[in-house]
Amino acid sequence: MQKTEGEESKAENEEVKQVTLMTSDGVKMKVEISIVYEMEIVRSFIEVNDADHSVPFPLPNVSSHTLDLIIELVKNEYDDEFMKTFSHDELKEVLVAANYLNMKTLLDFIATAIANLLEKKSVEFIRNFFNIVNDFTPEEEAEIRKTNEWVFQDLDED
Amino acid sequence: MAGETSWISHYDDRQRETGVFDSFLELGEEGEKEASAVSLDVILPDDLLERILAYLPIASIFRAGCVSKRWHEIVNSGRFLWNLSNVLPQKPWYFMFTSSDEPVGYAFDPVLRKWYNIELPCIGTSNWFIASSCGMVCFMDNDSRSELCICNPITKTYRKLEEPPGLKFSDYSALAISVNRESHFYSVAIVKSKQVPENFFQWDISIHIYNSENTTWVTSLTEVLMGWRGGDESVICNGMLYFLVYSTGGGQPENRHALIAYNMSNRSSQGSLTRSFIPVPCSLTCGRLMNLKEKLVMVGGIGKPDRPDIIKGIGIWLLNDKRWEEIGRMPQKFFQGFGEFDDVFASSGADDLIYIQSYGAPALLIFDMNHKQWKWSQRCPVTKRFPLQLFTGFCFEPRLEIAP
Repeated sequence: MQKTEGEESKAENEEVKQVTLMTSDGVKMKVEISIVYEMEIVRSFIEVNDADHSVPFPLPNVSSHTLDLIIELVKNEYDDEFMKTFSHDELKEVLVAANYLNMKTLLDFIATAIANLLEKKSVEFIRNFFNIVNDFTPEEEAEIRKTNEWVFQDLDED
Repeated sequence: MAGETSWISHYDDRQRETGVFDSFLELGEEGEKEASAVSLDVILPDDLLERILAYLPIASIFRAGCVSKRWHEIVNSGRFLWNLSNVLPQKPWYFMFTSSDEPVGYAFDPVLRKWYNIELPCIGTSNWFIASSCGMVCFMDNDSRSELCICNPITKTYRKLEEPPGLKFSDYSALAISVNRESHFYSVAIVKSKQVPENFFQWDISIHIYNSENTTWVTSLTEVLMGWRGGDESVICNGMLYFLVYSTGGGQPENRHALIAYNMSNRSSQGSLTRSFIPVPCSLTCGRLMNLKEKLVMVGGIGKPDRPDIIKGIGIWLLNDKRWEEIGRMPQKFFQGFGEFDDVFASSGADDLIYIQSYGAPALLIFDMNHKQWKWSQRCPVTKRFPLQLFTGFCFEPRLEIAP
Protein backbone atom coordinates (compact mmCIF):
# COMPACT_ATOMS: atom_id res chain seq x y z
CA MET A 1 0.00 0.00 0.00
CA GLN A 2 2.75 2.42 0.98
CA LYS A 3 4.39 2.28 -2.41
CA THR A 4 1.33 3.39 -4.30
CA GLU A 5 0.15 5.97 -1.79
CA GLY A 6 1.19 8.90 -3.93
CA GLU A 7 -0.57 7.74 -7.04
CA GLU A 8 -3.64 6.65 -5.18
CA SER A 9 -4.13 9.90 -3.37
CA LYS A 10 -3.62 11.77 -6.60
CA ALA A 11 -6.45 9.79 -8.19
CA GLU A 12 -8.66 10.33 -5.17
CA ASN A 13 -7.94 14.03 -5.16
CA GLU A 14 -9.09 14.37 -8.70
CA GLU A 15 -12.29 12.50 -7.94
CA VAL A 16 -13.48 14.34 -4.80
CA LYS A 17 -11.30 17.38 -5.28
CA GLN A 18 -9.30 17.38 -2.12
CA VAL A 19 -5.98 18.91 -1.18
CA THR A 20 -3.73 17.45 1.49
CA LEU A 21 -2.48 19.90 4.07
CA MET A 22 0.29 19.22 6.57
CA THR A 23 -0.19 20.89 9.94
CA SER A 24 2.50 22.14 12.33
CA ASP A 25 2.19 18.97 14.44
CA GLY A 26 2.84 16.78 11.40
CA VAL A 27 -0.71 15.64 10.69
CA LYS A 28 -1.73 15.24 7.05
CA MET A 29 -5.32 16.29 6.46
CA LYS A 30 -7.32 15.94 3.28
CA VAL A 31 -9.46 19.01 2.83
CA GLU A 32 -12.13 19.71 0.24
CA ILE A 33 -10.89 22.07 -2.40
CA SER A 34 -13.81 24.46 -1.88
CA ILE A 35 -12.56 25.04 1.68
CA VAL A 36 -8.93 25.22 0.62
CA TYR A 37 -9.86 27.88 -1.92
CA GLU A 38 -10.85 30.18 0.94
CA MET A 39 -7.23 30.02 2.10
CA GLU A 40 -5.61 32.60 -0.16
CA ILE A 41 -2.10 31.48 0.76
CA VAL A 42 -2.78 27.89 -0.38
CA ARG A 43 -4.96 28.86 -3.30
CA SER A 44 -2.37 31.13 -4.89
CA PHE A 45 0.24 28.40 -4.48
CA ILE A 46 -1.96 25.71 -6.04
CA GLU A 47 -2.93 27.93 -8.92
CA VAL A 48 0.63 28.99 -9.73
CA ASN A 49 2.19 25.57 -9.34
CA ASP A 50 -0.17 23.59 -11.51
CA ALA A 51 -1.15 21.57 -8.48
CA ASP A 52 0.44 18.29 -7.75
CA HIS A 53 -2.14 17.64 -5.04
CA SER A 54 -0.36 14.52 -3.86
CA VAL A 55 2.27 16.71 -2.22
CA PRO A 56 0.88 17.89 1.10
CA PHE A 57 0.93 21.64 1.44
CA PRO A 58 2.73 22.61 4.66
CA LEU A 59 1.03 24.89 7.16
CA PRO A 60 3.79 25.35 9.73
CA ASN A 61 1.78 27.92 11.74
CA VAL A 62 -1.46 25.95 12.03
CA SER A 63 -2.00 23.01 14.35
CA SER A 64 -4.23 20.07 13.39
CA HIS A 65 -6.67 21.04 16.14
CA THR A 66 -6.94 24.59 14.81
CA LEU A 67 -7.33 23.37 11.24
CA ASP A 68 -10.11 21.04 12.39
CA LEU A 69 -11.92 23.99 13.94
CA ILE A 70 -11.48 26.08 10.79
CA ILE A 71 -12.80 23.30 8.53
CA GLU A 72 -15.83 22.82 10.78
CA LEU A 73 -16.50 26.56 10.81
CA VAL A 74 -16.40 26.80 7.04
CA LYS A 75 -18.50 23.64 6.63
CA ASN A 76 -21.08 25.02 9.04
CA GLU A 77 -21.13 28.29 7.10
CA TYR A 78 -19.72 30.19 10.07
CA ASP A 79 -22.20 29.11 12.68
CA ASP A 80 -22.25 31.36 15.77
CA GLU A 81 -23.53 28.58 17.99
CA PHE A 82 -20.64 26.33 17.04
CA MET A 83 -18.11 29.05 17.71
CA LYS A 84 -19.58 29.76 21.12
CA THR A 85 -18.15 26.37 22.17
CA PHE A 86 -14.59 27.64 21.53
CA SER A 87 -12.24 28.36 24.42
CA HIS A 88 -10.42 31.70 24.49
CA ASP A 89 -7.24 29.95 23.35
CA GLU A 90 -9.07 28.36 20.44
CA LEU A 91 -10.50 31.73 19.42
CA LYS A 92 -7.05 33.27 19.38
CA GLU A 93 -5.53 30.32 17.52
CA VAL A 94 -8.20 30.53 14.83
CA LEU A 95 -7.66 34.29 14.58
CA VAL A 96 -3.92 33.94 14.06
CA ALA A 97 -4.39 31.02 11.65
CA ALA A 98 -7.07 32.85 9.63
CA ASN A 99 -4.71 35.78 9.31
CA TYR A 100 -1.80 33.54 8.27
CA LEU A 101 -3.93 31.58 5.78
CA ASN A 102 -5.43 34.86 4.56
CA MET A 103 -9.06 33.71 4.85
CA LYS A 104 -11.04 36.93 4.49
CA THR A 105 -14.51 35.71 5.43
CA LEU A 106 -13.25 33.74 8.40
CA LEU A 107 -11.12 36.68 9.52
CA ASP A 108 -14.12 39.02 9.57
CA PHE A 109 -16.19 36.42 11.35
CA ILE A 110 -13.61 35.72 14.04
CA ALA A 111 -12.74 39.42 14.48
CA THR A 112 -16.43 40.13 15.08
CA ALA A 113 -16.63 37.27 17.56
CA ILE A 114 -13.62 38.50 19.52
CA ALA A 115 -14.98 42.07 19.46
CA ASN A 116 -18.26 40.75 20.89
CA LEU A 117 -16.36 38.96 23.60
CA LEU A 118 -14.35 42.05 24.54
CA GLU A 119 -17.00 44.73 24.26
CA LYS A 120 -18.10 44.78 27.88
CA LYS A 121 -14.81 43.69 29.39
CA SER A 122 -12.32 45.65 31.47
CA VAL A 123 -8.93 46.88 30.32
CA GLU A 124 -7.33 44.21 32.54
CA PHE A 125 -9.34 41.45 30.85
CA ILE A 126 -8.21 42.62 27.42
CA ARG A 127 -4.58 42.66 28.56
CA ASN A 128 -4.86 39.11 29.87
CA PHE A 129 -6.70 37.92 26.79
CA PHE A 130 -4.00 39.16 24.41
CA ASN A 131 -1.09 38.67 26.82
CA ILE A 132 -0.24 42.36 26.69
CA VAL A 133 2.21 44.03 29.02
CA ASN A 134 0.95 47.38 30.26
CA ASP A 135 3.69 49.85 29.29
CA PHE A 136 1.97 52.93 30.68
CA THR A 137 3.23 54.42 33.92
CA PRO A 138 0.46 54.52 36.55
CA GLU A 139 0.28 58.31 36.07
CA GLU A 140 -0.08 58.03 32.30
CA GLU A 141 -2.80 55.42 32.60
CA ALA A 142 -4.69 57.44 35.19
CA GLU A 143 -4.52 60.46 32.91
CA ILE A 144 -5.93 58.58 29.91
CA ARG A 145 -8.68 57.02 31.99
CA LYS A 146 -9.64 60.42 33.36
CA THR A 147 -10.42 61.86 29.93
CA ASN A 148 -13.22 59.34 29.38
CA GLU A 149 -14.35 58.18 32.77
CA TRP A 150 -17.79 57.21 31.45
CA VAL A 151 -16.45 54.23 29.50
CA PHE A 152 -15.54 52.41 32.70
CA GLN A 153 -19.07 52.33 34.10
CA ASP A 154 -20.60 48.94 34.96
CA LEU A 155 -18.59 46.42 32.99
CA ASP A 156 -18.90 42.64 33.02
CA GLU A 157 -16.96 40.73 35.64
CA ASP A 158 -13.67 39.47 34.21
CA MET B 1 6.95 7.52 1.79
CA ALA B 2 7.76 9.30 -1.42
CA GLY B 3 5.18 11.94 -0.63
CA GLU B 4 6.58 12.44 2.80
CA THR B 5 10.12 13.00 1.56
CA SER B 6 9.04 15.56 -0.93
CA TRP B 7 7.06 17.33 1.73
CA ILE B 8 10.07 17.59 4.01
CA SER B 9 12.28 19.22 1.42
CA HIS B 10 9.52 21.58 0.49
CA TYR B 11 8.91 22.37 4.13
CA ASP B 12 12.59 23.15 4.67
CA ASP B 13 12.61 25.56 1.76
CA ARG B 14 9.69 27.44 3.06
CA GLN B 15 11.06 27.54 6.53
CA ARG B 16 14.25 29.13 5.34
CA GLU B 17 12.32 31.72 3.40
CA THR B 18 10.26 32.89 6.32
CA GLY B 19 12.30 34.23 9.14
CA VAL B 20 9.14 35.06 11.05
CA PHE B 21 8.28 31.41 11.22
CA ASP B 22 11.73 30.51 12.54
CA SER B 23 11.50 32.84 15.47
CA PHE B 24 7.95 31.74 16.09
CA LEU B 25 9.09 28.10 16.31
CA GLU B 26 12.00 28.96 18.55
CA LEU B 27 9.75 30.69 20.98
CA GLY B 28 7.60 27.59 20.99
CA GLU B 29 10.58 25.39 21.66
CA GLU B 30 11.87 27.50 24.50
CA GLY B 31 9.38 26.09 26.91
CA GLU B 32 6.28 28.10 26.03
CA LYS B 33 3.30 25.79 26.28
CA GLU B 34 1.95 26.36 22.80
CA ALA B 35 1.48 29.04 20.20
CA SER B 36 -1.18 30.87 22.19
CA ALA B 37 1.19 31.39 25.09
CA VAL B 38 3.30 33.68 22.94
CA SER B 39 2.09 37.20 23.45
CA LEU B 40 -0.56 37.64 20.79
CA ASP B 41 0.31 41.29 20.87
CA VAL B 42 3.65 40.50 19.23
CA ILE B 43 2.27 38.47 16.34
CA LEU B 44 -0.91 40.46 15.70
CA PRO B 45 -0.23 42.98 12.94
CA ASP B 46 -1.77 46.44 13.30
CA ASP B 47 -4.30 45.90 10.55
CA LEU B 48 -5.66 42.75 12.19
CA LEU B 49 -5.93 44.49 15.54
CA GLU B 50 -7.67 47.41 13.84
CA ARG B 51 -10.11 45.00 12.26
CA ILE B 52 -11.13 43.67 15.68
CA LEU B 53 -11.26 47.12 17.27
CA ALA B 54 -13.38 48.50 14.44
CA TYR B 55 -16.18 46.11 15.42
CA LEU B 56 -16.29 47.46 18.97
CA PRO B 57 -18.81 49.98 20.27
CA ILE B 58 -17.38 53.42 21.06
CA ALA B 59 -17.04 52.99 24.82
CA SER B 60 -15.07 49.79 24.27
CA ILE B 61 -12.78 51.53 21.77
CA PHE B 62 -11.92 54.16 24.38
CA ARG B 63 -11.24 51.35 26.85
CA ALA B 64 -9.00 49.58 24.34
CA GLY B 65 -6.99 52.79 24.13
CA CYS B 66 -5.98 52.27 27.79
CA VAL B 67 -4.54 48.79 27.22
CA SER B 68 -1.02 49.78 26.13
CA LYS B 69 0.87 52.49 24.27
CA ARG B 70 0.60 50.56 21.01
CA TRP B 71 -3.16 50.19 21.33
CA HIS B 72 -3.53 53.83 22.35
CA GLU B 73 -1.69 54.89 19.22
CA ILE B 74 -3.82 52.64 17.01
CA VAL B 75 -7.21 53.82 18.23
CA ASN B 76 -6.12 57.44 17.84
CA SER B 77 -4.58 57.02 14.40
CA GLY B 78 -6.14 58.70 11.40
CA ARG B 79 -6.16 55.43 9.48
CA PHE B 80 -8.14 53.62 12.17
CA LEU B 81 -10.67 56.44 12.52
CA TRP B 82 -11.09 56.61 8.77
CA ASN B 83 -11.67 52.87 8.53
CA LEU B 84 -14.04 53.05 11.45
CA SER B 85 -16.31 55.42 9.59
CA ASN B 86 -16.55 52.88 6.78
CA VAL B 87 -17.55 49.82 8.77
CA LEU B 88 -20.93 49.29 10.38
CA PRO B 89 -22.17 52.63 11.61
CA GLN B 90 -23.05 52.90 15.28
CA LYS B 91 -26.71 53.46 16.09
CA PRO B 92 -27.68 56.97 17.14
CA TRP B 93 -27.66 57.72 20.87
CA TYR B 94 -30.03 59.83 22.93
CA PHE B 95 -28.77 62.36 25.46
CA MET B 96 -31.28 63.00 28.25
CA PHE B 97 -30.91 66.10 30.40
CA THR B 98 -31.64 65.39 34.02
CA SER B 99 -31.50 68.92 35.40
CA SER B 100 -32.96 72.17 34.15
CA ASP B 101 -30.20 74.24 35.74
CA GLU B 102 -27.07 72.47 34.64
CA PRO B 103 -26.54 70.78 31.26
CA VAL B 104 -25.92 67.37 32.82
CA GLY B 105 -27.43 64.03 31.99
CA TYR B 106 -26.96 60.60 30.54
CA ALA B 107 -26.50 59.30 27.02
CA PHE B 108 -28.24 56.09 25.95
CA ASP B 109 -26.51 53.61 23.64
CA PRO B 110 -29.24 51.48 21.98
CA VAL B 111 -26.80 48.74 20.92
CA LEU B 112 -25.39 47.92 24.33
CA ARG B 113 -28.62 49.25 25.90
CA LYS B 114 -26.64 51.25 28.45
CA TRP B 115 -26.71 54.77 29.85
CA TYR B 116 -23.44 56.68 30.11
CA ASN B 117 -22.81 59.70 32.27
CA ILE B 118 -21.06 61.85 29.66
CA GLU B 119 -20.28 65.56 29.90
CA LEU B 120 -21.25 67.90 27.08
CA PRO B 121 -18.80 70.63 26.11
CA CYS B 122 -19.81 74.29 25.54
CA ILE B 123 -23.49 74.18 26.48
CA GLY B 124 -24.77 76.48 29.22
CA THR B 125 -28.16 75.09 30.21
CA SER B 126 -30.50 72.39 28.97
CA ASN B 127 -32.83 74.96 27.42
CA TRP B 128 -30.27 76.00 24.81
CA PHE B 129 -31.16 75.29 21.18
CA ILE B 130 -29.74 71.99 19.96
CA ALA B 131 -29.38 70.45 16.51
CA SER B 132 -27.31 67.50 15.38
CA SER B 133 -26.12 65.76 12.23
CA CYS B 134 -23.58 63.02 11.52
CA GLY B 135 -21.79 63.11 14.87
CA MET B 136 -21.74 66.89 15.27
CA VAL B 137 -23.99 68.75 17.68
CA CYS B 138 -24.71 72.46 17.48
CA PHE B 139 -25.70 74.48 20.56
CA MET B 140 -27.10 78.03 20.63
CA ASP B 141 -27.83 80.01 23.79
CA ASN B 142 -31.43 80.88 24.55
CA ASP B 143 -30.95 84.51 25.63
CA SER B 144 -29.00 86.49 23.08
CA ARG B 145 -29.19 83.66 20.51
CA SER B 146 -25.81 84.69 19.22
CA GLU B 147 -23.55 82.27 21.08
CA LEU B 148 -23.07 79.22 18.87
CA CYS B 149 -20.85 76.22 19.27
CA ILE B 150 -20.34 73.03 17.24
CA CYS B 151 -19.00 70.00 19.09
CA ASN B 152 -18.51 66.29 18.98
CA PRO B 153 -20.03 65.18 22.31
CA ILE B 154 -18.05 61.92 22.25
CA THR B 155 -14.54 63.27 21.66
CA LYS B 156 -15.43 66.66 23.21
CA THR B 157 -13.73 68.61 20.44
CA TYR B 158 -15.57 71.87 19.74
CA ARG B 159 -15.46 75.12 17.84
CA LYS B 160 -17.26 78.37 18.52
CA LEU B 161 -18.98 80.06 15.60
CA GLU B 162 -19.03 83.76 15.08
CA GLU B 163 -22.23 85.59 15.84
CA PRO B 164 -24.99 85.10 13.27
CA PRO B 165 -26.32 88.20 11.47
CA GLY B 166 -29.86 89.49 11.84
CA LEU B 167 -31.98 90.37 14.81
CA LYS B 168 -30.42 89.56 18.13
CA PHE B 169 -33.58 89.18 20.13
CA SER B 170 -36.05 87.46 17.87
CA ASP B 171 -39.31 86.11 19.26
CA TYR B 172 -38.68 82.66 17.84
CA SER B 173 -35.58 80.92 16.50
CA ALA B 174 -35.10 77.52 14.93
CA LEU B 175 -31.67 75.89 14.64
CA ALA B 176 -30.60 73.19 12.17
CA ILE B 177 -27.29 71.65 11.11
CA SER B 178 -26.31 69.41 8.24
CA VAL B 179 -22.93 67.68 7.88
CA ASN B 180 -21.70 66.42 4.54
CA ARG B 181 -20.78 62.78 5.20
CA GLU B 182 -17.91 62.78 2.68
CA SER B 183 -16.25 66.16 3.10
CA HIS B 184 -17.37 66.76 6.74
CA PHE B 185 -18.15 70.37 5.82
CA TYR B 186 -21.29 71.55 7.54
CA SER B 187 -24.04 74.11 7.22
CA VAL B 188 -25.92 75.68 10.12
CA ALA B 189 -29.27 77.36 9.49
CA ILE B 190 -31.20 79.67 11.79
CA VAL B 191 -34.77 80.73 11.03
CA LYS B 192 -35.67 83.85 13.00
CA SER B 193 -39.21 85.20 13.47
CA LYS B 194 -40.12 88.54 14.94
CA GLN B 195 -43.52 90.12 15.12
CA VAL B 196 -43.83 93.36 13.16
CA PRO B 197 -44.46 96.00 15.88
CA GLU B 198 -48.12 96.54 16.67
CA ASN B 199 -49.24 94.09 14.04
CA PHE B 200 -50.15 90.64 15.25
CA PHE B 201 -50.62 89.23 11.76
CA GLN B 202 -47.31 90.23 10.23
CA TRP B 203 -44.08 88.46 11.07
CA ASP B 204 -40.56 89.17 9.85
CA ILE B 205 -38.95 85.90 8.88
CA SER B 206 -35.26 85.68 8.10
CA ILE B 207 -33.06 82.71 7.22
CA HIS B 208 -29.34 82.80 8.05
CA ILE B 209 -26.97 80.12 6.83
CA TYR B 210 -23.42 79.41 7.99
CA ASN B 211 -21.13 77.37 5.77
CA SER B 212 -18.00 75.85 7.31
CA GLU B 213 -16.26 75.72 3.94
CA ASN B 214 -15.95 79.51 3.74
CA THR B 215 -16.66 80.12 7.47
CA THR B 216 -19.18 82.86 6.82
CA TRP B 217 -22.79 83.62 7.57
CA VAL B 218 -25.13 84.65 4.79
CA THR B 219 -28.62 86.03 5.28
CA SER B 220 -30.25 84.18 2.48
CA LEU B 221 -33.85 85.32 2.87
CA THR B 222 -35.95 87.94 4.58
CA GLU B 223 -39.68 88.01 4.11
CA VAL B 224 -42.85 89.12 5.86
CA LEU B 225 -45.38 86.36 6.48
CA MET B 226 -49.06 87.20 6.90
CA GLY B 227 -50.93 85.23 9.54
CA TRP B 228 -48.08 82.81 10.16
CA ARG B 229 -45.02 82.84 12.37
CA GLY B 230 -41.99 80.61 12.57
CA GLY B 231 -41.25 78.52 15.63
CA ASP B 232 -38.31 76.61 17.01
CA GLU B 233 -38.54 73.50 14.87
CA SER B 234 -36.42 73.03 11.76
CA VAL B 235 -34.23 70.44 10.05
CA ILE B 236 -32.05 70.18 6.96
CA CYS B 237 -32.65 67.23 4.65
CA ASN B 238 -31.01 66.72 1.29
CA GLY B 239 -30.20 70.40 0.79
CA MET B 240 -33.69 71.53 1.81
CA LEU B 241 -34.34 73.49 4.99
CA TYR B 242 -37.71 72.54 6.46
CA PHE B 243 -39.36 74.44 9.28
CA LEU B 244 -42.74 74.44 10.93
CA VAL B 245 -44.87 77.59 10.92
CA TYR B 246 -47.82 78.31 13.17
CA SER B 247 -51.01 80.16 12.35
CA THR B 248 -51.49 83.38 14.31
CA GLY B 249 -55.05 83.86 13.18
CA GLY B 250 -57.17 81.16 14.80
CA GLY B 251 -58.56 79.13 11.94
CA GLN B 252 -59.36 75.44 11.92
CA PRO B 253 -57.28 73.20 14.23
CA GLU B 254 -55.97 71.12 11.33
CA ASN B 255 -54.72 74.31 9.72
CA ARG B 256 -52.84 75.66 12.68
CA HIS B 257 -49.50 74.25 11.51
CA ALA B 258 -47.77 74.04 8.18
CA LEU B 259 -44.40 73.02 6.87
CA ILE B 260 -42.21 75.28 4.75
CA ALA B 261 -39.59 73.79 2.45
CA TYR B 262 -36.76 76.13 1.52
CA ASN B 263 -34.09 75.16 -1.00
CA MET B 264 -30.79 76.23 0.59
CA SER B 265 -28.91 76.48 -2.67
CA ASN B 266 -31.53 78.77 -4.19
CA ARG B 267 -31.01 82.14 -2.56
CA SER B 268 -32.61 84.57 -4.96
CA SER B 269 -36.34 84.02 -4.75
CA GLN B 270 -37.94 86.53 -2.42
CA GLY B 271 -41.57 86.12 -1.54
CA SER B 272 -41.40 82.43 -2.21
CA LEU B 273 -42.12 81.03 1.24
CA THR B 274 -45.90 81.12 1.04
CA ARG B 275 -45.75 79.15 -2.18
CA SER B 276 -43.83 76.34 -0.55
CA PHE B 277 -46.37 75.65 2.23
CA ILE B 278 -47.09 71.99 2.85
CA PRO B 279 -50.14 71.37 5.09
CA VAL B 280 -49.61 68.98 8.01
CA PRO B 281 -51.68 65.76 8.01
CA CYS B 282 -53.80 66.55 11.08
CA SER B 283 -54.10 68.77 14.11
CA LEU B 284 -50.71 68.50 15.81
CA THR B 285 -49.10 69.10 19.15
CA CYS B 286 -45.38 68.90 19.84
CA GLY B 287 -44.60 68.51 16.14
CA ARG B 288 -40.92 67.71 15.62
CA LEU B 289 -38.95 67.38 12.39
CA MET B 290 -36.07 65.01 11.86
CA ASN B 291 -33.73 63.80 9.15
CA LEU B 292 -33.72 60.02 8.87
CA LYS B 293 -31.27 59.03 6.12
CA GLU B 294 -32.00 62.25 4.22
CA LYS B 295 -35.78 61.69 4.39
CA LEU B 296 -37.91 64.20 6.25
CA VAL B 297 -39.86 62.64 9.10
CA MET B 298 -42.29 64.38 11.44
CA VAL B 299 -43.45 63.15 14.84
CA GLY B 300 -46.39 64.74 16.60
CA GLY B 301 -49.31 64.29 18.96
CA ILE B 302 -52.64 63.78 17.23
CA GLY B 303 -55.20 66.07 18.83
CA LYS B 304 -58.79 65.10 19.58
CA PRO B 305 -61.18 66.76 17.10
CA ASP B 306 -63.03 68.65 19.86
CA ARG B 307 -60.01 69.26 22.11
CA PRO B 308 -56.95 69.65 19.85
CA ASP B 309 -54.65 70.25 22.82
CA ILE B 310 -55.46 66.81 24.24
CA ILE B 311 -53.80 64.08 22.25
CA LYS B 312 -55.29 60.71 21.46
CA GLY B 313 -52.13 59.24 20.02
CA ILE B 314 -48.66 59.92 18.65
CA GLY B 315 -48.00 59.54 14.95
CA ILE B 316 -44.95 59.37 12.66
CA TRP B 317 -45.12 60.65 9.08
CA LEU B 318 -42.71 60.58 6.20
CA LEU B 319 -42.75 63.34 3.57
CA ASN B 320 -42.89 61.90 0.08
CA ASP B 321 -42.89 64.63 -2.55
CA LYS B 322 -45.12 67.03 -0.60
CA ARG B 323 -47.42 64.26 0.63
CA TRP B 324 -47.36 62.81 4.13
CA GLU B 325 -47.35 59.08 4.55
CA GLU B 326 -48.12 57.75 8.03
CA ILE B 327 -45.45 55.17 8.83
CA GLY B 328 -46.12 54.52 12.47
CA ARG B 329 -48.46 55.21 15.34
CA MET B 330 -47.55 54.59 18.95
CA PRO B 331 -49.45 51.47 20.09
CA GLN B 332 -51.94 52.04 22.88
CA LYS B 333 -50.01 50.07 25.51
CA PHE B 334 -46.95 52.30 25.05
CA PHE B 335 -49.05 55.46 24.81
CA GLN B 336 -50.70 54.63 28.14
CA GLY B 337 -47.36 53.99 29.79
CA PHE B 338 -46.27 57.36 28.58
CA GLY B 339 -47.82 59.65 31.15
CA GLU B 340 -50.78 61.97 31.03
CA PHE B 341 -52.45 62.55 27.71
CA ASP B 342 -52.05 66.30 27.76
CA ASP B 343 -48.36 65.92 28.49
CA VAL B 344 -45.87 67.53 26.20
CA PHE B 345 -43.21 65.30 24.80
CA ALA B 346 -39.92 65.53 22.94
CA SER B 347 -38.87 63.48 19.98
CA SER B 348 -35.64 63.31 18.05
CA GLY B 349 -34.17 60.92 15.55
CA ALA B 350 -31.36 60.01 13.18
CA ASP B 351 -30.43 57.15 10.86
CA ASP B 352 -33.34 54.74 11.42
CA LEU B 353 -34.19 55.38 15.06
CA ILE B 354 -36.70 57.78 16.60
CA TYR B 355 -36.63 58.57 20.31
CA ILE B 356 -39.77 59.83 22.04
CA GLN B 357 -39.71 61.12 25.58
CA SER B 358 -42.34 62.61 27.83
CA TYR B 359 -41.25 65.88 29.47
CA GLY B 360 -42.74 64.65 32.72
CA ALA B 361 -40.71 61.47 33.21
CA PRO B 362 -37.34 59.98 32.33
CA ALA B 363 -38.99 57.19 30.31
CA LEU B 364 -37.66 56.85 26.78
CA LEU B 365 -39.39 55.04 23.93
CA ILE B 366 -37.59 53.98 20.74
CA PHE B 367 -39.12 53.42 17.32
CA ASP B 368 -37.03 51.44 14.85
CA MET B 369 -37.94 52.51 11.31
CA ASN B 370 -36.49 49.41 9.70
CA HIS B 371 -38.37 46.88 11.78
CA LYS B 372 -41.35 49.12 12.60
CA GLN B 373 -40.77 48.17 16.21
CA TRP B 374 -41.47 50.04 19.44
CA LYS B 375 -39.32 49.43 22.46
CA TRP B 376 -38.65 51.04 25.84
CA SER B 377 -35.06 51.94 26.57
CA GLN B 378 -33.38 50.55 29.66
CA ARG B 379 -34.37 52.56 32.69
CA CYS B 380 -32.44 55.80 32.93
CA PRO B 381 -30.35 55.93 36.11
CA VAL B 382 -32.16 59.14 37.13
CA THR B 383 -35.46 59.26 38.99
CA LYS B 384 -37.92 62.08 39.21
CA ARG B 385 -37.40 64.00 42.42
CA PHE B 386 -40.03 66.74 42.32
CA PRO B 387 -43.36 67.03 40.45
CA LEU B 388 -42.38 69.79 38.05
CA GLN B 389 -39.03 68.30 37.12
CA LEU B 390 -38.79 68.29 33.33
CA PHE B 391 -36.80 65.97 31.11
CA THR B 392 -35.69 66.75 27.60
CA GLY B 393 -33.03 65.48 25.28
CA PHE B 394 -31.66 65.10 21.80
CA CYS B 395 -30.45 62.41 19.47
CA PHE B 396 -26.95 62.30 17.97
CA GLU B 397 -24.71 59.87 16.13
CA PRO B 398 -21.73 58.76 18.21
CA ARG B 399 -18.71 59.18 15.95
CA LEU B 400 -15.02 59.31 16.70
CA GLU B 401 -13.75 60.55 13.36
CA ILE B 402 -15.80 63.74 13.18
CA ALA B 403 -14.33 67.00 14.45
CA PRO B 404 -15.74 70.48 13.85
